[in-house]
Amino acid sequence: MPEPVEFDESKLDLSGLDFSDLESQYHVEEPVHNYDQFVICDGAPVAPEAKAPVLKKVLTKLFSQCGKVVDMFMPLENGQTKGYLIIEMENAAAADKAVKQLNGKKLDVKHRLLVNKLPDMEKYALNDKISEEFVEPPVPEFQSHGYLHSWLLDPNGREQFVVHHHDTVGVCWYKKNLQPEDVIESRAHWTSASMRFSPKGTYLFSFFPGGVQAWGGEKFDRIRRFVHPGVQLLDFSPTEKFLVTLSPEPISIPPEDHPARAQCLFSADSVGHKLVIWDLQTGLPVRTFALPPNLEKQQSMPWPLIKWSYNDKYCARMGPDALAIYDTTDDFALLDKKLYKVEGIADFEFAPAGVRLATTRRNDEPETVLSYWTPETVNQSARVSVVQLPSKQVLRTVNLFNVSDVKMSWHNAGKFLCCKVDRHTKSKKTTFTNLELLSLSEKDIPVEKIELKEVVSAFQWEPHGERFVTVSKLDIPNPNIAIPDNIVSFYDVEEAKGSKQAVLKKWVCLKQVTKTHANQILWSPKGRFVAVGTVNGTNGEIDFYDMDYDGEKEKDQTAKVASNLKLLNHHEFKGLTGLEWDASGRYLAGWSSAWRHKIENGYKIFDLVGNLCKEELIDGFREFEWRPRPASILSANDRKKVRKNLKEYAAQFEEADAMEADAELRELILKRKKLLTEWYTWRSSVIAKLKELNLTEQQHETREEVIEEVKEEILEETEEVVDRCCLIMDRPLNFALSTLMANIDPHPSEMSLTDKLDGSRASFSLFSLVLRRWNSNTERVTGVRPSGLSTHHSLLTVTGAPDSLHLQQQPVTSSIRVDGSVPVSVGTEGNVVGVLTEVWVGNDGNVGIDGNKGTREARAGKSRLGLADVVLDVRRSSSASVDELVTNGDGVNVVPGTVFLNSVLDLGNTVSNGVDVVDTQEEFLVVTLGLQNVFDLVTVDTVKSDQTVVRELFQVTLDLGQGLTSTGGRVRRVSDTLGATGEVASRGWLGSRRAGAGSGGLRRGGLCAGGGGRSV
Amino acid sequence: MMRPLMLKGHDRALTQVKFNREGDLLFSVSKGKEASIWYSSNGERLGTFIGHNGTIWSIDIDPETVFAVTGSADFTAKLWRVETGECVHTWTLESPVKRVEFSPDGNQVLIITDQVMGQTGKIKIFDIDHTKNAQSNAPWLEIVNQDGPASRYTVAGWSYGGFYILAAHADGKVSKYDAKTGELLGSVKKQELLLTDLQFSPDRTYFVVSSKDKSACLYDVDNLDLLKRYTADVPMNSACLTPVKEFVILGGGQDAREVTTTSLSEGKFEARFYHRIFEEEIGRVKGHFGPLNYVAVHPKGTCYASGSEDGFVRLHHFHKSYFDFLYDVEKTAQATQQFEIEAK
Repeated sequence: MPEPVEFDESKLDLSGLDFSDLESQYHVEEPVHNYDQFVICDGAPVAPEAKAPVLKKVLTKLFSQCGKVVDMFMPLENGQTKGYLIIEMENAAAADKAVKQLNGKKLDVKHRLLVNKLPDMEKYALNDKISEEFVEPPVPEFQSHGYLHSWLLDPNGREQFVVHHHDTVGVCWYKKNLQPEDVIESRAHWTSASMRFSPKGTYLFSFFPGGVQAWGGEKFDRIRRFVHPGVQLLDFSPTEKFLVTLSPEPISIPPEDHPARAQCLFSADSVGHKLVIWDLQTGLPVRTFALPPNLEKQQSMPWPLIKWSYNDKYCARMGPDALAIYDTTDDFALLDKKLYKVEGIADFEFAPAGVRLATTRRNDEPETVLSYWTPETVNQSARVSVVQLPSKQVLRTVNLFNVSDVKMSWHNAGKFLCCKVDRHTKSKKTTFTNLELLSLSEKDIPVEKIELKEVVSAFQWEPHGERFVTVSKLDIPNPNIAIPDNIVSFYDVEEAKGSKQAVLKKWVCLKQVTKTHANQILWSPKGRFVAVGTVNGTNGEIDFYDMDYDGEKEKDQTAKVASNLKLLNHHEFKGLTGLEWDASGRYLAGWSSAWRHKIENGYKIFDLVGNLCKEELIDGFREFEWRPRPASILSANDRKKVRKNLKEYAAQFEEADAMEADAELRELILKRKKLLTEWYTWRSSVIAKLKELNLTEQQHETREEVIEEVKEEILEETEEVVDRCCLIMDRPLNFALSTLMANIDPHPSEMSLTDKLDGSRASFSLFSLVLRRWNSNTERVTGVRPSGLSTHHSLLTVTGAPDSLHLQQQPVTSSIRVDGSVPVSVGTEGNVVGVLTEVWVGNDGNVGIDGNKGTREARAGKSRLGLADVVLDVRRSSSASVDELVTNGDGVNVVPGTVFLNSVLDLGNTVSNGVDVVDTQEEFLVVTLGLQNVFDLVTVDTVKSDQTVVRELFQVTLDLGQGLTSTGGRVRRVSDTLGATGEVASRGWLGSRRAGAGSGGLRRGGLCAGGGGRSV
Repeated sequence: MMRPLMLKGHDRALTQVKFNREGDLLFSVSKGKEASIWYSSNGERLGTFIGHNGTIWSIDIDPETVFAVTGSADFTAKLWRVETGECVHTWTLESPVKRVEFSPDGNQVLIITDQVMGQTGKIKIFDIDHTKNAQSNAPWLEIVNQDGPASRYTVAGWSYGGFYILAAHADGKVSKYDAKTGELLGSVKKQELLLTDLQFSPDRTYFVVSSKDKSACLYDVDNLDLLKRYTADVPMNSACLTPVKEFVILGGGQDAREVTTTSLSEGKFEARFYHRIFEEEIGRVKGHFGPLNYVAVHPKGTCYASGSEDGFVRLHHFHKSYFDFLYDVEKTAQATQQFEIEAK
């Protein structure tokens, strides 16, 4: 018998066997503990066991709304349900839905269901994540931003404003003509767009890509951030309770478990919305809206989209065929829980103040009123309706026909409503405007209608007053925008005659200003003064008007009204892009923004009568904004008192201003002192260092060779005291031109010239007196000419620098020329000024006479231009002409006849080989230059040439002379050659003499020149 | 304030004007092909350097007025003997020469080659041998712009003792290099846009840099600290520091192509005087009818010259009133100083 083989399993080699088929056959799935489909529901009623099935049934039904309920486990204890239960839904999605829909669901008055997902319980509640004890969450420490109205406490009551240039924003105190004082240091990159004050000035808002930020308090600390990515538009409710922002990016919420979710203030309902209303106090969004579909794709957004009642109790937004009115005190619920249906509503406006209707009792709160209009439909006329809130009672409707547009302008106190109705003619080709003026406070709200032929483009009520101003324009096809055809009209209420009974108000136009480009009306916030601006970015202008001018009434104004209109001031501001009054109505700021163009960027501030107080041109200037103020808290009595003692206050303020100016000066001096010390300290340290390096200046000192030495010896000197010196021309002149050159030494303190020429014998003479080597001792030069010689030209030339020059009885044709390195004043009697006004004479930076400024037509009648650096500036004129021109370097006079200049004429200096070019297109002229210390004179009456370039002085003299004598007054081109300097001097003299001699027979057209006269 | 001489010798826009060390001669170069030399006292032309074949961007004179160097858009820099007006040496380079300047001792010259046509902008330094005409063609040192064309070199100059080279870049940056090794010692960027000119104080311890961003800044050489800033309302092409008086002269003006035909945009072609320490504008000198491309001041501070796009050089001699001008603060400071000296 074979020995049984012991089977030893451990020795068995199993490696060769394949169990995979068995493994797959008997594989047991690991139970998946996935509780995603379970929810736990708390807050269910605690019911006795008997009622449990009923409860189960109710709850199953409830939860079935969200998906199939697979199982429900309701634990029992002591024969009662425990108040919570676990429900298994068909899948996780259904569980999610249950949480979303049923969490917080009110089962009945007492019971509110709390539904959570089971895994969440594990995640948050188990593992001791919740302690039994309640720990108070830390309340963030209150951070004071200081007194938000601190700026109102300024003892001097100064205004603040924001200036924004490049990326820098500064807030400044306005200090009249002094440099504005910084409230805070300018901040770079404070905003990514613009800056905005809230309506009462409490907050300053800046933009950043993620939203807007509010700043305030004394130091403009950050008070709050309002995170609304991509925000572009900003608006406020009138009492600063709410803020409205609009962003083109729809709101999105970070996913549930994202850390950013905790910071996100928006709830899931807001996803996709673009418009947000924020509570300014808490910084939380109170309501978000999607844009109405009709606005989604619109390019330009009407703004504001949400309008507010005067007290912020209601706000409203317009949708298609309906107005949504929200009650802000009732959690922004719709008023009466429904939309206010208005078929075809086109626009609406709230009254900006509480309205006192005829029916409002004295002690009642004023009413909240809004107006809206609807355009014409097939069987209904267009109409404007005035509605009272919250009753929604329609107070008044006005029916209108042929309407193309309506703009509603409320008076700031809610007394009047003006409907600017643009109507079209039957052909629909042209439009015109009717103004429908509703008086809200009168019984039944009467309507006054003003029919105009023009289209009104701007309309403004006087704040607190009854007057208004319009800008209108005739609607003509293809208008030429270059022609100013706007009309500014001023309206006032006709004064009631006789009876005191309130009659229907009637507005009449008291004055019209026509042919203007004006397009903006800016009433002072206090009324009475109104600025009318032309704001188009290229040729800005501002006119300041007073509606209650004290002086006599102009005759062209109607006597029916009390107003007396007066144009106080007119200013031009080329690049003007914006205008704004400050809150007190004391100043008007105008600015030119680099956002629009690069012309004259900067701002100007005027006082209320239009005096320029401050002007600052800042490169890259962007925006200017006055800080608004809340309404004054002074009572009527207080105000009266102030007005009464105004003089006293004014004196005090003026004194304070003067002191301030002194203080500023002192500060400036101190600052300069400091800079000076700093600089010299630094310099001495640098110099010490250089010394160490052995690099001081002395090292570079080199030999200097004096090559030439001029010695002057005085051989004889006579001294004579002359107090008064007369130059008497007692000899009839043979030459048409006479030159007198006087080297006068010593210098008389006074000098008078008397021309004793007989007028009949020298009718074409030109009298020229040149006084050289003038000395500042001579204070007065007097020239007297016989008045009968009106055809004569008279020229008085003074080189050197008298302190004043006095001419008497000079006829119109007289001129004067002054060179001097000290400021020279010209006193004239007679008509000299009329001639000189056309000429610009500058000399080494000291302007002797500056006539061209302000003259549009450059007509230099008889002009003498100065020694060194003379420009006849005719660039501003299209047709410039110069009748007579004298340039007098130290060497030369050229007196041409008629010159038409179309370009810049630069008359140069006295360099030996310098050049002057005159490019003229018509009859031309030429000119000049001189060798120093050589005097020469040429007179040319008429020279005609296309273009002449004169290169060298003496050649000019000769060529002109020769040219004229040979060609009879025509010079085509003067070439450039030059002889030796010394020689030329004499040739120059010869030239003019010869020319003079040769021209004897020519009448006016010839060249008349000569040397003559006598020295004293 | 001063008597101007108008020097007309160039047909085209001036690019640089410069005085020699004594100040008796004025050198000017323009977009024409000649350089001119003038007597600064009376404006008479002494002569010209003829030989370049394109715009001459820059000129400099050595301290002894023996040699002058010019840099041109014709890819060459030339060395001239001032006395005779002959060209003694020509360096041929790979791109236009924008700026040339002698070292303070006159033994070296720096040449900026422009970063165009695929070339890298460089500052090249050549030795100058005063004893002979022919010079070495191999640069003694080369500093290469590392930062791309946007910050190419525009102008450069030597500090005191020739220790450092200060270079201005097209992006508003100013760099300081060791003049012996070419090592970058520091850079600072306080201005925007193209830097147009860099001129030193007489002792070469600080310098002023003008910029197209409508400003000029004063830096010190040692730390590259921004000492002062002078702001104008048009782009600035040049700035110089006046000896004797604590002033800065700025020259510039609206670029010709930006001047519109409307009356609104006047070119503002003026030389502006600022107080060096107080940064305040004191006065302006009108006269040019194109932008000022360069302003230079006489080494003794008696006159200044401005070269303009209009083709003129204006030479203004200062009057007494210019030298008398002082702020009250300065007067007081001087009086105090005087008093202290007397007290001692």
